[in-house]
Amino acid sequence: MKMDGDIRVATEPKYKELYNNMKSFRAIDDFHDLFFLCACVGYRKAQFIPLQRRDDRFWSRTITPREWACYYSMVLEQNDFNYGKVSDDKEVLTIIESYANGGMAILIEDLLGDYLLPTSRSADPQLDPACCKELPKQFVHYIFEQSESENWDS
Amino acid sequence: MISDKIIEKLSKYPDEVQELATQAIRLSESFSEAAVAEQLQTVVRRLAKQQEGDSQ
Amino acid sequence: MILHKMTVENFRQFRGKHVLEFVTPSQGKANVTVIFGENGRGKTGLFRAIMFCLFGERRLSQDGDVPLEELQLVNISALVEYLGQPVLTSVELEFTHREQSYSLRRAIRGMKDGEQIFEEDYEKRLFLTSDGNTKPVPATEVDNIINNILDRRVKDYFLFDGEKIERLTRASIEQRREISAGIRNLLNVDALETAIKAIGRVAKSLESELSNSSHEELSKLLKRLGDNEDAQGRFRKRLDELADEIRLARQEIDKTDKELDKFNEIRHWLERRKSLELELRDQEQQVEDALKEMRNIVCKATSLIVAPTVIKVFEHIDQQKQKGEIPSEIRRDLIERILEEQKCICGSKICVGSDAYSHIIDWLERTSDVKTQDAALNLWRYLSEVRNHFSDDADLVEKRLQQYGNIRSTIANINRNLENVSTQIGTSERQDATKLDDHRKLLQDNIISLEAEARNIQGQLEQRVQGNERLRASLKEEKMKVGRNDELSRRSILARDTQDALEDVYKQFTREIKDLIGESATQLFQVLLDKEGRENLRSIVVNADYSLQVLDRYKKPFLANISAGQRQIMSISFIAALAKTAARGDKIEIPLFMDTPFGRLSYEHRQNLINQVPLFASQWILLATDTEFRRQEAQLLKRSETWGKFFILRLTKDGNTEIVEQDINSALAVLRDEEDYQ
Repeated sequence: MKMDGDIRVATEPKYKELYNNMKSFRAIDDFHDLFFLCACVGYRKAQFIPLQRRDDRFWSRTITPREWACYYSMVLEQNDFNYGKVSDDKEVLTIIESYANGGMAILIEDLLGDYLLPTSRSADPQLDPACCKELPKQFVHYIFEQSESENWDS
Repeated sequence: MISDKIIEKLSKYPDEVQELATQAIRLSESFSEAAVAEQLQTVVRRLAKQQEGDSQ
Repeated sequence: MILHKMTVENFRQFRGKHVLEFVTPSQGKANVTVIFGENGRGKTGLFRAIMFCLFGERRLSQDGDVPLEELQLVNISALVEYLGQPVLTSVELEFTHREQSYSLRRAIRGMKDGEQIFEEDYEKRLFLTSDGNTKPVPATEVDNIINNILDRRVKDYFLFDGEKIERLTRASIEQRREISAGIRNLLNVDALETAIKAIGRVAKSLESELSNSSHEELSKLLKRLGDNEDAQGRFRKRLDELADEIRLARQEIDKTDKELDKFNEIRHWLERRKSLELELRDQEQQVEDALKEMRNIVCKATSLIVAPTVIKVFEHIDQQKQKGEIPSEIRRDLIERILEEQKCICGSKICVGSDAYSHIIDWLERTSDVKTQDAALNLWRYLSEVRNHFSDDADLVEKRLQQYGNIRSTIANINRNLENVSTQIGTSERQDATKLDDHRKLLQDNIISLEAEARNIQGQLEQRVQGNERLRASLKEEKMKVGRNDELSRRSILARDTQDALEDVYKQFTREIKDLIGESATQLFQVLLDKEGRENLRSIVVNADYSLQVLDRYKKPFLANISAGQRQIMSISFIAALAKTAARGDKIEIPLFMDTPFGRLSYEHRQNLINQVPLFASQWILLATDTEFRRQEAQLLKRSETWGKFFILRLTKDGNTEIVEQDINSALAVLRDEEDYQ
């Protein structure tokens, strides 16, 4: 659990354009933000889909401590709190990559469908620049719906 | 003068860079971009040869 | 520079000779001159007269691309009266600057021949009085002397008008361009910019030679870099084109509005529409800011999705802590030694299979090594922090969504009202009005799609710029590998390094001046804001991309949440800071012209403006309309004891304007009260 900054985090090659679009059209600030969202959605909905092909997306040094803490938590919970499973950051991220992969599929299904170029939907999804201005708000709204209504006061 | 302030800020760079940059600014005070570029070709050639000489 | 007197003759709306004497600081505390008149009477014309006299300029920044032929200066009535004969138009300025007195006169001659109007330069004359001696200045030196007093490039900062203020509150390409141009003019770095471009040319030509060399990897990188830079060039060109197209479209809308204005019966609907559109632009800006805020909170919000997991893991580790398992009360290596030696620390033997042995195995299974324990404790700390913020994060998300919803709702409302107003305009019996209105709608739609395209291209450009940095780094590495024996590579590296050095220095300079302007703007901001504003808003910052931001007391970006009045104060503070920095002193040495600055300001804001501007400007010339400058404002000004002169611009029978000086003490009688508008 060293929050290693020298690991390459990957996604499926088909999501490369989508990640680039998200950043250049300002739907997100950085790649790790989108990855985190996909990972949390994938974990929450128990969608673990290992990558068929790896395509490097970003360096782990951009992952914030908050995100790392959440990733470790997910792996620990899934492995009966076995600390051995979170001792190797590369292995942790490999697991999270699979959740992010599943999460991205869910996001496309649940939310992004209307914002993609029609021709790209079945192959490599691409954002439609004409209608993606509101995406940041859509993300926040989606997150709000997905998070449980808990009593947060501890 | 603004140019003098700029040249001051260049002091942390290697000598050849400083010299080339200073020449570029001084020439630009009087000549057009194209004319400056042409004259700088000669300066670059001289400084690169100087670098080679220093390293041998 | 202190203006003393201006004499205009046959200039624009001013038929015949008119004199305006400004109040000067030497006459006491007073340094405020108020020039009062309805729209179209010639208030901006007086500023135009000064710019014409000083620089021979006919064009102000607000004129945009209006053709020079439409910016004629000679009074029309005089031209008509003297049809076929030349008419002299002149402006004479008497001013002082650093203990020297100047008298500058510039004249043109105009003539109307049929439908055409011709104007030509006629006279340029400067007299300088120093130590009691007056002498003429040679014509060839006049422009140089004036430019040393006031650099023509910064002249536009000294006229504050509603449009400029409006432009600066919108985070658009135009805003960034305006600020970027202002700062570059301030720095006066023409030589540096030329040097950067020239050395860039040299670097590019050397790389072009290199790419034809036999070094394959180098050639590949150079090609990619070249393609990337070409793409950036295309994007920048397109952004410039879009900015121009948007500006032209807006000017066309203004022109159309002026045409529509001719239809009296729809005038009040037009005004209503204009006000709704301003409000709409304001709200749309808030949407942009709100969306930016949303992007900022996505990470915090996302962790709410896995909150149950975070809480569960936290509680698990917490329990382990409480049970003494983390950190372990007994070290793992000690337990392992006990098991290996089958002997307790008290010396008693421990047999395999015994109860004691099982208990110790139990302990071993529950403990972990020191490294893991430390990591688990760290994790516990991080989770504790994350967990503690869940409630606040959830509140923040809800608040932002609500805020966004409110803004959208307001926009929907405004759009409904706009539709209603457009219908009223459209159903006017005048067919021309309907056609003009349709044309206007097309222009609006065009602007929206151009702005969307610009946003898209800006994003792609930023990606390319980042890609460029990575490519340049790889290229340099490759060149250095090759460069040891290759002179061409050495030259290429040297040229690029020099370009980088110059760009670095340029960035340093602009950063320093941005910080300086930010500090100055913040100081002014703090004195101009009302009490509530001062409590919540801390500073103005010029960002790296030349956009403006306001930080709250927690140093967080807050622009999305400030009111229209606060935005106006922000713009005034920024422009004043720019003017102050241009003047390079504590007081702005050039007269400040403010054209209807009170627009959307609350009483306290107006009060602050009236009290503070005379303190940081050596002369304040306030151009005001009857809706803006009422008894309230006049009383504030009188009480400040800074108000020295009051001029009214009156319409004459022949449609021209005359300048009438009014005694300040009887000014209240001609001014309206707030109740007059209800």
